[in-house]
Amino acid sequence: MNEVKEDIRSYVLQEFLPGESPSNLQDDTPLRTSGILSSVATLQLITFLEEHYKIEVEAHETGVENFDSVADIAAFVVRKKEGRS
Amino acid sequence: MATAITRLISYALPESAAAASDPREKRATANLVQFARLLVQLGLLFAVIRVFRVETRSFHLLAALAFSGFAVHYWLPFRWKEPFWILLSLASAFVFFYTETAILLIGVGILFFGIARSGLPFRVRAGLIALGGAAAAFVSRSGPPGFPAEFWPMFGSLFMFRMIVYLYDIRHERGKPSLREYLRYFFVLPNYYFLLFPLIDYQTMRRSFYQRDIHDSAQQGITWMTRGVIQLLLYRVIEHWNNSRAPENTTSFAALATCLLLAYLLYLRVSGTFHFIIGLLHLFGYDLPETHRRYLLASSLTDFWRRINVYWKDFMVKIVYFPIYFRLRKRGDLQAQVVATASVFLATWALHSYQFFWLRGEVLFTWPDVLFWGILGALVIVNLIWEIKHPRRKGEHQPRWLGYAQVAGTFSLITVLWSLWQAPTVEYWMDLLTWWK
Repeated sequence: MNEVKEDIRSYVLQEFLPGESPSNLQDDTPLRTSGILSSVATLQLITFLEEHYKIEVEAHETGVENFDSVADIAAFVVRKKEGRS
Repeated sequence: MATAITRLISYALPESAAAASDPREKRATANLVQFARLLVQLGLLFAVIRVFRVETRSFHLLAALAFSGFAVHYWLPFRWKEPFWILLSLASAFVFFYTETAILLIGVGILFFGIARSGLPFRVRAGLIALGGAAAAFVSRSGPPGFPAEFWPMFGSLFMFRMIVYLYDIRHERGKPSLREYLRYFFVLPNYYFLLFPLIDYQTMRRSFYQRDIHDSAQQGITWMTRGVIQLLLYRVIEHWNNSRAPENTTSFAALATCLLLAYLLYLRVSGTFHFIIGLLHLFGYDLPETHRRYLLASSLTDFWRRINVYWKDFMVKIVYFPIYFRLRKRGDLQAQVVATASVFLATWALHSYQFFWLRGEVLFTWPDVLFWGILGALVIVNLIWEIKHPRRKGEHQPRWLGYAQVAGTFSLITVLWSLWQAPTVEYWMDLLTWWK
């Protein structure tokens, strides 16, 4: 789980928060509800997750319950990998 | 009967002792000094509302109920907080409406919940609720006996959009819907005064409850309520100026620019009320996101769409954009995004008319409305294609003057388009713009 979190954190920082200190992106920092991740950015993130972790995300899974923080996204990826989503 | 009542009450009563280890409980820890600080601010805000006669006396009543409710809610044990808020909201329906209206609203709400919670297949449940809504829409036109006139717009305001979100979310949920979550989502105290209500997302509301320390959340709420009240006061000034200007007096470019600007800034009433509503909910632990993000400073049309009425944008993304995009993405990312974006603006136009029907009792179809959404949608799509084909390089910074120019240009364009939207006819708008003739 920690490895997944760090992968996601690195990607978000690199693509959507260039120049931001990693310590400012906590596990529970809101991404969707704060506007850091727009809808287009969320799609870009989803494409990354699908390619990197070989999972398939469905439309109804893209809500804030799965995609509002690094921790939420990591937990979602782990559930998908384990087939529990 | 006794069993049914017990089960109904158990939905509202505190949850079991196992919930005592809930991390949110720590965020609800009371502190007398911080409470006093918050209460003083609320008292000052209430004084401003009263002294400056912001909105109507019913609004003052709403503020009084909410602020005094906060004073009680703050000191309650964590497990009692949400049930108290739900009961306060339900009971307040009897304060703002005739008794028959309150009973009908709650009764219809419970009926819808019963259908949502029944063991029927989802499509049947959704179909039944949709049928109920359609029947209500049909019947409302004739003003049937036993239904006070005030019932219909309030019914529409409560259910017309949030039921769509609710059904979408419960479709994929494990377990049966909870009455507690249903009641807190649909019966929200400030909604009784503000028919035009921010489209709060069901999942977001659920997650927002005591997401932060209550003192931070409540302070944010007070800040937003204050911002909302300021915007409402500004709105009064702008409305006065706007009403004192006759279109036939637009005989210069300066007069035209003023006319267009004032028409756009009338939107401050919407953003002001939304700030106040969401700020109020913060007092009761709902750490919801902001509804508007400095939309006057948008640097492009796409940026404007993301900043103005954020809750509506998120609703469109959830219900229209993502479902269509995911269905089409195998045909190509750009095509999927373009079709999904076009669908969003088509849906926004249609649902805007749908909302107008429920809140005003008439069907809205005007060419200014059609053209506004069509032109805005087309320009957002052009902007989107441009951004996809010309992505900004990472770490690239544009000159500051260019940023200012983009903001000024976007503001000007939106102001002109907005004037079209507010015009009664396209001919009226053309006459206004061609003031020199």
